[in-house]
Amino acid sequence: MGAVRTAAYDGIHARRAPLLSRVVPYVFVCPALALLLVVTAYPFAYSVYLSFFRTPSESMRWTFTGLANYRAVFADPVFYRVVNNTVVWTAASTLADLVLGMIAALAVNNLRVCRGPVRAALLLPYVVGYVVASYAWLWLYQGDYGLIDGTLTAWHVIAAPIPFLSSLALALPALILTNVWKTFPFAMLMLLAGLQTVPEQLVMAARLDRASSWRTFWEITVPALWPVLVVTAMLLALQNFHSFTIPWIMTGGGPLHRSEIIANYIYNQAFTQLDFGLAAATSCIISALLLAFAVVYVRVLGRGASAR
Amino acid sequence: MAELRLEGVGKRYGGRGEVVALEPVDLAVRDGEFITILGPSGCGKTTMLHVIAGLVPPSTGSVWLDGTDITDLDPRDRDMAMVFQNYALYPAKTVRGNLEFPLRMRGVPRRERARRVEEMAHVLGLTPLLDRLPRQLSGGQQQRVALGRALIRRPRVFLMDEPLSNLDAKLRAQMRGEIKRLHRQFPITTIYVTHDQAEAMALSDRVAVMNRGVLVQVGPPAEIYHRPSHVFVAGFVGAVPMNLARVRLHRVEDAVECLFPGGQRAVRVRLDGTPPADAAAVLGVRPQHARWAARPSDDGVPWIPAVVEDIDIVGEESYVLARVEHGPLLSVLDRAGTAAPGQSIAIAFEPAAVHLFDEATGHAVPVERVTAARRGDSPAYP
Amino acid sequence: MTMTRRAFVEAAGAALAAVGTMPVRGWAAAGDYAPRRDLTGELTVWDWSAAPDTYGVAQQQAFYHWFPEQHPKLRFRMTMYGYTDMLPKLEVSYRGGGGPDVARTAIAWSSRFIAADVFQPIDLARLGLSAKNFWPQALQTVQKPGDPSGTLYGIPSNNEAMMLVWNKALFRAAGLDPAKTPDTWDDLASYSKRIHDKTGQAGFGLVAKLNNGNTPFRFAPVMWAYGGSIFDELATPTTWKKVGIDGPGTVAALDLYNRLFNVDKSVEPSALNDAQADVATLFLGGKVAMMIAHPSDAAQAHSLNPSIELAAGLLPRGPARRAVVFGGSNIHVRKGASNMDQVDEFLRAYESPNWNARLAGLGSNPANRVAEHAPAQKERDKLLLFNDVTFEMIQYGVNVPLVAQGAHIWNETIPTMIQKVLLKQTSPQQAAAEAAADVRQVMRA
Ligand SMILES: Nc1ncnc2c1ncn2[C@@H]1O[C@H](COP(=O)(O)OP(=O)(O)OP(=O)(O)O)[C@@H](O)[C@H]1O
Ligand SMILES: [Mg+2]
Repeated sequence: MGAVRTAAYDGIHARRAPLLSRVVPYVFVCPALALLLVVTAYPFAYSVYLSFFRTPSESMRWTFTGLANYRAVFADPVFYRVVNNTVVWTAASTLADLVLGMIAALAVNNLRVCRGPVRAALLLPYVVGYVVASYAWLWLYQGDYGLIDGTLTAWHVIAAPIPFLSSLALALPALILTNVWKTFPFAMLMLLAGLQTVPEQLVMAARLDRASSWRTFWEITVPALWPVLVVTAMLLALQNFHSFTIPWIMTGGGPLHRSEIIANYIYNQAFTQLDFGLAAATSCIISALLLAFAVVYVRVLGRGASAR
Repeated sequence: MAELRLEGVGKRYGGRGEVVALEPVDLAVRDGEFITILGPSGCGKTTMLHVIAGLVPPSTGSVWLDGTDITDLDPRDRDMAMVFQNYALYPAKTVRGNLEFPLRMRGVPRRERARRVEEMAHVLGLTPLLDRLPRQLSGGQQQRVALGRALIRRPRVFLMDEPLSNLDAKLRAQMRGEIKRLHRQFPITTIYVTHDQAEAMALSDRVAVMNRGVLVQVGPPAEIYHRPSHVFVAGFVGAVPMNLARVRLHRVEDAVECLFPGGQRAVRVRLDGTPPADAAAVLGVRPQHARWAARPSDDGVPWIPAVVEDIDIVGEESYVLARVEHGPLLSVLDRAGTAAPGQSIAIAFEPAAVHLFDEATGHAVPVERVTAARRGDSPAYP
Repeated sequence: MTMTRRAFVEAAGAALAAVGTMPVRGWAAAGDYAPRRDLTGELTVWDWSAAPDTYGVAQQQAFYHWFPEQHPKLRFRMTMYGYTDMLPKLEVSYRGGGGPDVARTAIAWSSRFIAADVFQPIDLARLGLSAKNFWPQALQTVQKPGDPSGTLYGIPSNNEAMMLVWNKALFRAAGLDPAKTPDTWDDLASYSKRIHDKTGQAGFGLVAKLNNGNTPFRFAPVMWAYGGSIFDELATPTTWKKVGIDGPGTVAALDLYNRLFNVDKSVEPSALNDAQADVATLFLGGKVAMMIAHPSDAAQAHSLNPSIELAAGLLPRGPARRAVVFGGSNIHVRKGASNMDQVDEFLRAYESPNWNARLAGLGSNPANRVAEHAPAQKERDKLLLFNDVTFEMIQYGVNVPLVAQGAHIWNETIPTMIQKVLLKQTSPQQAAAEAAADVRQVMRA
């Protein structure tokens, strides 16, 4: 009897399920999708719309200008410098975050004693607010009284204080250092969690197979961590790309826009010059670049992650 | 040459060492010897292998290889190959990548590596799977890869942690034969952990039985089977468990009579020493060394009255489970195959095959000779 | 507000009598504020907080508590923003066709909205005030550039000017008279060099951060002192049409900055990324001897580090004049507001001498000059340091660019020009010429 019923049920199921199972997931997804539309899609679409209008400073009316805002952005030499800065900032910060985070994660993971306190200490920069960190580093870098210049001069590493933040060449690297200090604990946390899922036995097996620590790291640990690495790198890259506070507080993007990144640039267009159309156009250009990057990234590295 | 010696090697885990994984153990493994470790789950077998491999440091004692203390030697420099209980295959590497990894790390040239991988894959039946990743393999296939990764080179010591546990009976027999052949061809010192007693008996020069972190008995398979030195070994070794029953020892002339709690005479033995009057002991006899009959015959051994409770069929053999009044449930190999539950029967032990163990320590009490009791002289016990 | 109206009038009258020669009329009408308790209807007000001036914040709280209390039938809605939030919020709401009935804005923001025609003209007489109640520069900030009718599109709420503050101990250490202000900008540079040479500390705190309003606020006075200007703001009437930033006055001011930063190196090396707050911190630590500051900065410095021997004087003059940025805020009424009765009531309360004095906080001064003699001003005088100096300084005030594109010129063009010179990227002439080109371009767009 049971078998008969099962068969009958399976028969019905086989015919009806595809339709049902196609519809039901969408029903469940609907509320989330609606929320997403309201909080993400609408503002995004509105920015695109806004980017085709001039919001002139001498009038409260909007005037349609076609691509004029885009032309204005591409005509601004500062835009290219800022994009360049942003790429350097994002790439260098993310790479340094990953390297430093990996080193810290390995160190913490191999600790036998005091693991908790050391991890907590390394997490400290992550907990400190961006504004606090920016001011702290502002004073660290201060030429006459800052700890960094003071120490370097005291140890005779440098003859005279270097005004890091006022230097055309060093301002951006100095800010990147601050940013890395602030963000690497995130990489450490993710990689540490990843490391703890790498079976200890794999490392043991590799040691018996006579692999050096270096080879073990590259052949066993990194492949095992790869999915975590890909995701962490993506999250960090996005976070770093959208940074705002550190340059804003520490240099105001100076000297001469050498440490200005895209969020500062757009903020200035929108809220200092109050040119919303121009800011929207810049945002759209950047979103397009970001989207292209994300697609390539997921295609290339994402595939690698799923293959493993 | 690889002679391995453990001296007082023990391992404790936990913050204050409250988990004893391995009590201090002494063990000497001869060069080229194949020794099997048998023991229940959690008794410390894997721990022992890991200590030997250097993967975990022992809490006490030292490990010697060919007269050198290697306790603190890096596992990389011990030249041992291990099959891990959970395989520990490199998940990002293909079967080929896994198999050749130990060779690559030793700088074996590419051509030679390829040759040996092909050879190993052929032996283990992995040839069609060489380019798959571990997660695309079945459990048994993964286990063969793990075995292959160890067998592909000639280390000084092989450590194998239940390497065949996940294979079907046929494949297991085949692999067992392969291991045996390889060991005959290259007699490399091997420590082999298994739960399969047949495997242990078939492969080993010696068997080591462990219980709760203690090495209980080490000896050739036949000795382990026929002369268990401890009640634990007696109970653990054997396809069907040995009958173990509590008895009282009663002096009768120059021999000792073993009496069940209900007063029935079990067997009469002669001991080396003199047991104290009315001492208690554990009597052990394998089902194969007992017989039953519908009624006792007059052949000089005590017959024990019992009532059949169940018939247990194990493979081609069946066993009668019969209860002695006020006493134990005995298992008897049923040669006739005619017993039925509820039937009253009589059971007799083969006096030459019974074992006695100290009730307190569990150690075997040497049984010198067993005397056949004369008919009709059994004392009556209330 | 515990004082009775009668006591208030008496006290105010006494103050007026004491001053005697006061040049301002209209005091009686403005001082005679009596709440219309039966006022009905609605009123929406946006204001921004005086934080971190705690005195000012307390006065704002008192006022916005008191005002609705006096008008129990009025539906009064007030929103208090932070300084940086206010401008974008106003911009967005006005563009959306909304916005509050009444809003207080910084001077620099006013011209943008006046140009966009979102404000209602205000009739001072209806409020019992006249042009004489206010500084002429203040009234300029609420007019359309070059509008001969002189229509006011807002009413000044408070005005201030900065001064020079210095550390007497460092002056003494450098062998300078601690009571003597450097008279000219050239003197200031010599003082700075001398202090730096003698004490090792920065003589002058230079503010040259990018994208920071503090930077042009401190540069413009030097530029004007040397006869330079962004447009034609030194001429009367100002047209705001002629671009003059590439003139010799600007170049001379840039030369002075260059001398301080690159030649004498007598200012703090972090000048390029220092805002006023950073310079103030260095000043507090005795690491900077002179800075351009508001009276509130001086008061704050005094409370944070009472051991600093503060002195204050007028900003130095240049060959052309003595000048300072004319600072402050205005109150505006949205065009089309139909509740003018309610609006007038609010403006009269805000401009009433006692409230106008108190609402100026410690960072500014009442815009209604009658309030300079109100009883509440006495209360402020006890808290304010060097109030006399900053009052004296206001007369030298020159307005920021009162054009819609002012924000860009002020925050972007001028700091960039300064940084180019300080970083030796271009000559001062070249930097000034590029700034002029930039100003012309934004004015064209
Ligand atoms: N890292 C550890 N921390 C704490 N206790 C452990 C640890 N490793 C093993 N043990 C304990 O030590 C004992 C011996 O473990 P071991 O793995 O050696 O058993 P085993 O004989 O290999 O068992 P099985 O046949 O189930 O594999 C067990 O009780 C186990 O719980
Ligand atoms: Mg195990």
